[in-house]
Amino acid sequence: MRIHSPDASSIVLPLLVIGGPMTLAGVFMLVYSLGGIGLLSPGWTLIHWRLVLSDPQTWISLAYSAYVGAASLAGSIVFALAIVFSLGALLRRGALGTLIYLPLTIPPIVAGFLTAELFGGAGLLSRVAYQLGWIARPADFPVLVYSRWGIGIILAHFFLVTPFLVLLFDRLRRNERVDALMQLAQTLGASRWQTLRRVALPVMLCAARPALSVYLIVLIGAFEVPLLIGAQSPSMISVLIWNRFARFDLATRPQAFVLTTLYTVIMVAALLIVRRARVGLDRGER
Amino acid sequence: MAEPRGCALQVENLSVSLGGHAILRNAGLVLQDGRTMAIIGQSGCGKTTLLKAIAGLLPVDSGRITVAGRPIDSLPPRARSAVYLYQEPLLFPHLDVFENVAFGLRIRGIAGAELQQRVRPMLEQLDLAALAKRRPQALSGGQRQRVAFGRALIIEPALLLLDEPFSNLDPEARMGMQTLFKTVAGAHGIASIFVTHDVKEALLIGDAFGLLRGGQLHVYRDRAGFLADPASGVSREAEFWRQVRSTEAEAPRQPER
Amino acid sequence: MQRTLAGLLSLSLIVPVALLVVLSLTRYWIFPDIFPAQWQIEQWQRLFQGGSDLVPATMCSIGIATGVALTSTALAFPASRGICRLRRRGALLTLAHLPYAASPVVLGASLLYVFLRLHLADSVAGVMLAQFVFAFAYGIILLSSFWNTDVESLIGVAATLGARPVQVWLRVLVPRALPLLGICLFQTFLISWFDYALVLLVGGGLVDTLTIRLFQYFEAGDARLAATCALLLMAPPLLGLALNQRLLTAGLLFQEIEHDG
Repeated sequence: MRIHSPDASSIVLPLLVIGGPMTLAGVFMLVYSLGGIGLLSPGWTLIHWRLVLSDPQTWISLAYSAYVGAASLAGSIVFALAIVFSLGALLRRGALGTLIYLPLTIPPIVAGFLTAELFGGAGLLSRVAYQLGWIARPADFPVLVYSRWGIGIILAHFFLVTPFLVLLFDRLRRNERVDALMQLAQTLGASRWQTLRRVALPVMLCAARPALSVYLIVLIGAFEVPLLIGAQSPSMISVLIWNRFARFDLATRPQAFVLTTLYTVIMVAALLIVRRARVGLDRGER
Repeated sequence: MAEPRGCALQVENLSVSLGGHAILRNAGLVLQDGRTMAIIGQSGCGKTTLLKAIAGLLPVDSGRITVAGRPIDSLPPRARSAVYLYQEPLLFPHLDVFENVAFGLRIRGIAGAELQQRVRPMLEQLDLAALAKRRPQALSGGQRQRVAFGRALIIEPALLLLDEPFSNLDPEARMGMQTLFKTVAGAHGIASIFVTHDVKEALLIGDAFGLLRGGQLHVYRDRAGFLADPASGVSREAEFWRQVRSTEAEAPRQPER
Repeated sequence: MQRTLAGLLSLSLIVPVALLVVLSLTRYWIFPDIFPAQWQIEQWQRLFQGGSDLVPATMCSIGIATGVALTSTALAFPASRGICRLRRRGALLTLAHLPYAASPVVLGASLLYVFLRLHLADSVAGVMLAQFVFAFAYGIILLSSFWNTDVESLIGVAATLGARPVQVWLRVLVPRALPLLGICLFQTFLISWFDYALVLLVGGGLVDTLTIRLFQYFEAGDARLAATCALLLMAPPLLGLALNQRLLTAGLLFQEIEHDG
């Protein structure tokens, strides 16, 4: 009976639906980047790879993406932990119990738009600052949106990710019996700060690692928010790829595919490393 | 008792209520150094509340608690020198066996060679040396409970508070742990309160006995008093075995159909 | 102290959404006014009378997202079981994370060429197919949490009681997984509904969804229409939030969470 024997068809489907496009895309981007195909391609060549790899913009963009992703996530983690431990059960009651879900209804593109309207030169905060007499005109307001430091992007991501982490940490705090572990640590002689630093934080961050690593990957590859409110330069990797792909003449298109290949290799490697570490954890190794 | 013993724990008139309900009323007990008091009680009788109140993990309505002659009522849990052992071992999931046992020492700033010197023998004693690098997820129930013991014993507390620590183990592991507990607690001379709902376990482990029912703690003067009290359940247990034996004796005489 | 903190947090959650509402109702709002000088509701009126050009974009978004949600959930449910029965299920679940690691822009740009060959580029079908890859992968990750030994025993019980495989699926597994399937439908709907990158790349300007509109209005500096678009985009998730909070959280956490469904 089919239901009792390993069902080949149900394994073929995911391999085909996910593996298929991934493989097609992978082969295509590699071939295109090597000049194998493409409208203006003169034939197989390494010139595009040489150009992209020797272009400082490539590495700046990769580093910048890592920085924006890490900064957004780190800020959200710190803030979410602080909220979970200072508010506790209040998060699950009353108006706040519902409001905390509100950012989950906001798509990234809206978050980008909102950040511009809140933190932009003529945004709501700037208006408040003017009314308080802190600034005389919009230009006096610090540049947060379109900032070279990616502050607007980080703020938008922060707004999107923090509520998820609050809900995640709140759930982990209960599922992993963090409060009982903290009590236990106290009877073993740990101070409040020690229980937090040596027990609560490592236990929760350890348990949240799968989710956090996927968030990091998604944030590093973010597109809508940096496209909307990112600086011209440096630009995040997705935006750089988009610019090479569509904004300029067709000649830069192979470079876009060098970037996509490079980026995919890095991210898939990162994903596999995360997974290996996690399998090790599950087996009870250090 | 030949040599005079000091008083490890004294509880006087301890009352605890949770959410307006009185859970524990005027409980009192005296426990000598190095001895184990087994307290019998069914679930919901206030066993856990009693232990948590002594450990300082619950607010107390009234009463006095003295550990080794020192009043500890106003001290935070970490300064009470009383370790509470949960029903499940509740190991730190992010630390391996060695680090779980070493936790209390690290908290006290002990590291390096001294840490090794103190943790290693404890692991040996509890037969955990080979598992030092394992994570809690990769241990059996009995192994976890041994780690929890080691983690508590290593800081040499004045008092161990055990909340049905073996109730989740299978019978064999359970007997092993009961024997191990007797040996190890005796060797370290640590006083302990051992709460259980199993009469046999209480008799095996206790030097002194108590019965907790409906928030009232009754402490027996001696073993004989515990054995004789119908409320302790000892006589019920004995009656059960007597009946089993007599049924077995009758069984062969019944004709087979 | 705790109360104050909770209040501040609530405020920081409400203000952005309130700002969207205000923006969509604004006629004139010049710097440095805190509140608009004049209000209007024209574009909302036109929207509900069907005369607004936001109507076709909304319809297009609804159609695409509904199709993606239905197909990806229907296919991911049996597929997730296939994966969960494998010894090396972990490797295949990692495969399901790959599209996210590669990011929509990368995958969209690279698949575009293939889609051009298949005459799927610049079409609604192409956009749906590209989004389907992501939604299906997500569905597998979410639904794989459903399969455990209890469910497998349930299958065994049904089979010993004489149920045929199809009956086991329809009478046992689907009803039992219904809450989770609801969450999966909703989340895969949102994956498509929120998507911008794939519509932009694969749709090639010919597929007109709400996210595409929002970006256009933003570029054109029309905050009022952009805010209206944003609120339309938020309507389905808000509805979901009103129905059941779990619709929004489950699985997007990318974490194995138990589902008491």
